Amino acid sequence: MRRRHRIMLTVDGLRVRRNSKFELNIPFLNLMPGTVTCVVGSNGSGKTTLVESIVGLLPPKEGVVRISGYEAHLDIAEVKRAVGYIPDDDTWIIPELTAREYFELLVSVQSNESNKRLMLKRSRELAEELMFISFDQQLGQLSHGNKKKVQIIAGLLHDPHFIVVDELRNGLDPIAIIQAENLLKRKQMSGSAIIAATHDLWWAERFADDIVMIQRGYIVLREETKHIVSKSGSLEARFMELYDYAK
Amino acid sequence: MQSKFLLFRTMLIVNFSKHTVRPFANAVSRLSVAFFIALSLGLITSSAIKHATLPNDLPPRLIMVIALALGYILGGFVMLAMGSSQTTQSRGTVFQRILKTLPLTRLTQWGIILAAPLLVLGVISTFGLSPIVTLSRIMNFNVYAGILSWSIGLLAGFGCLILHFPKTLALKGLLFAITVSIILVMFDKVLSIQNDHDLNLLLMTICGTILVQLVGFWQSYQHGIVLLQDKVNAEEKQLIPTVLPSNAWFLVKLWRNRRTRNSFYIVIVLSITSAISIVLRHKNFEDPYSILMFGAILSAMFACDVRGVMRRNIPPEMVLLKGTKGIVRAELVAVFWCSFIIGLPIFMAVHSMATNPLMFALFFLTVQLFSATAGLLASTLFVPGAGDTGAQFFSAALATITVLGLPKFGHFSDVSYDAQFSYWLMASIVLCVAVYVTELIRRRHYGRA
Repeated sequence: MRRRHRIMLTVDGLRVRRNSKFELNIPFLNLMPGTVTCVVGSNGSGKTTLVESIVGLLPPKEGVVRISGYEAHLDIAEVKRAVGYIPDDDTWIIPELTAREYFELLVSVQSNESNKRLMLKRSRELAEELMFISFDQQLGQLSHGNKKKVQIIAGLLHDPHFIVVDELRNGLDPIAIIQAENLLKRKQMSGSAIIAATHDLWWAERFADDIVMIQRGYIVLREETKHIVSKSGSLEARFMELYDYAK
Repeated sequence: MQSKFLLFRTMLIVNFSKHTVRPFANAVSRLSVAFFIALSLGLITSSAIKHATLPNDLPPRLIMVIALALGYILGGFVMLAMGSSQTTQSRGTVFQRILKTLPLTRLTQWGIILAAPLLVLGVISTFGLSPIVTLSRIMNFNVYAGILSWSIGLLAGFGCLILHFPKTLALKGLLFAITVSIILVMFDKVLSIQNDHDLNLLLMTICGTILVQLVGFWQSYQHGIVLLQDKVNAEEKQLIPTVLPSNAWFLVKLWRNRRTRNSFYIVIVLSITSAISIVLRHKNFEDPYSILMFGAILSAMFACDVRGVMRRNIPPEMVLLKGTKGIVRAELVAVFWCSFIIGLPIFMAVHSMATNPLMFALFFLTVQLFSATAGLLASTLFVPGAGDTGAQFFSAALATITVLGLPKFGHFSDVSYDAQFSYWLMASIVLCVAVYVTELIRRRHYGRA
């Protein structure tokens, strides 16, 4: 039982149909605690589809996604509490609520009576770290970058063990990017598993332990970053090799 | 408990408030106004009922089934019209997706998502309360049983929308229209039946046909609510070639917008099914003019959604394409043609019943023009965006009330139907001017505190 929980994420024979023209096929993928895995690929390759399948937003047509042994698309509260999701979509907010109201809503849903204050305190600490101060402004009026900061805080305030990030850097200023990366690195050090979808190869090379490359819905590469760099010189060079091969 | 309240509060804000500084207060006040209007309209209707001559010897069970069927038809119609406006980018849909990532039980998620449509049904239900109380006094039936039948009928209408099968909204619209036709055919038979046993059997069949759609609630709980009908990020095809005349751009815009296209599919399916039902039942209406009003209501329901395809304040089209006048003209042309197409099946089904075909056709054209402009005015006032439940409801309610209320308040019935076309035409012109003035005021006041 304990062994099963060692693996944070297992994707087994996953097929997800996004529309009539696109299907994601992931025969097997697993993630261990304390690792950062970046999913890279060209536009429309299936990065966001994979991320949304992992957080249970897209039900699988076949196969299964398991988080700590539980199926992700079933509404199991323990699984949802274990996952922190930072989307790449600035409509993923409730524009009429202020940031304070939004965090209070999330805290009230995520917490129990004992850790409620702790989570509210944590949201303030995260905001301070990301230099987010617009607590009383309606979310719809915030800039793109500030909305992203709200999403990062919302994704991390319940101290999840498994973090799913879609394009972390989009919209953030350089200082906020460094702060957000530090936050995630600290989470990694404390044993959390992180999966991040990105099209930024330079960032993925610097940030990830493992790389998963997707082309047209299929995994074409799964390797440790250091191996890729030692063999091909850089992730970008390896990406271009595979891209040319696919063409 | 606090989390449930906060979720409910957020649901109200997401569905009934928009672009306001105090969203919760705004949502509550809008809902209160809706309930007040529904109650007032109910009181007006019941005062009209008091003056009507109604039979008082109908069996109570028949009255209950009629209340159930009326609730089903109204509830299903309103919810289908509102469901057609949900898209992947709808605010309500984003809220559903956020809920999906939170540690909530399936029952809580289900309850929160269903709460908004149920509140809308509550408003419609309120409209029926006063007439049912009045009718119960005149026709001698149990008022509670009447209210219960009416409310269950409304829920069954919504149940049709959330059925797991069929999946697409157009097919659900078709199922709804077929069910309504079957119910009407069975009511035709009820009137001619003398045998008590056969009457009971037929009434039970009608009840069964309606109540079976309540299974949608169970299915939505089991499989998750699919108020969202579109495939996520499905690629759009270019549905109309770009060889249309340049001034048909708004028609193309309406067609390429999935929300308005869905809405059009639903009303056209309802219109065609009603026309087929009229033809198949060999009904010969003494007053075919009033049947045309159903087509007008369908057109108004469609038109009340169209302005939402553009930005609320100074849409780019207004700046780029011949200003406010140009945009209003383009909207009018588009909604009139759509309205004409929507009403045409019903017109074709009943035109042979008219004594003066030429005047009947003129009546049809002017009524469709009026319904299009009434819908457009409601749409211009509320600008219902995708998934904006409150604005959609108010817009649809205003358009329907205008189409149904004008003949009464404008004393159209003082003249014969054949002479009414000039009244409808004049009223349409007035509404066109109102649409133009509304756009002009909004444009001039944009950015001012």
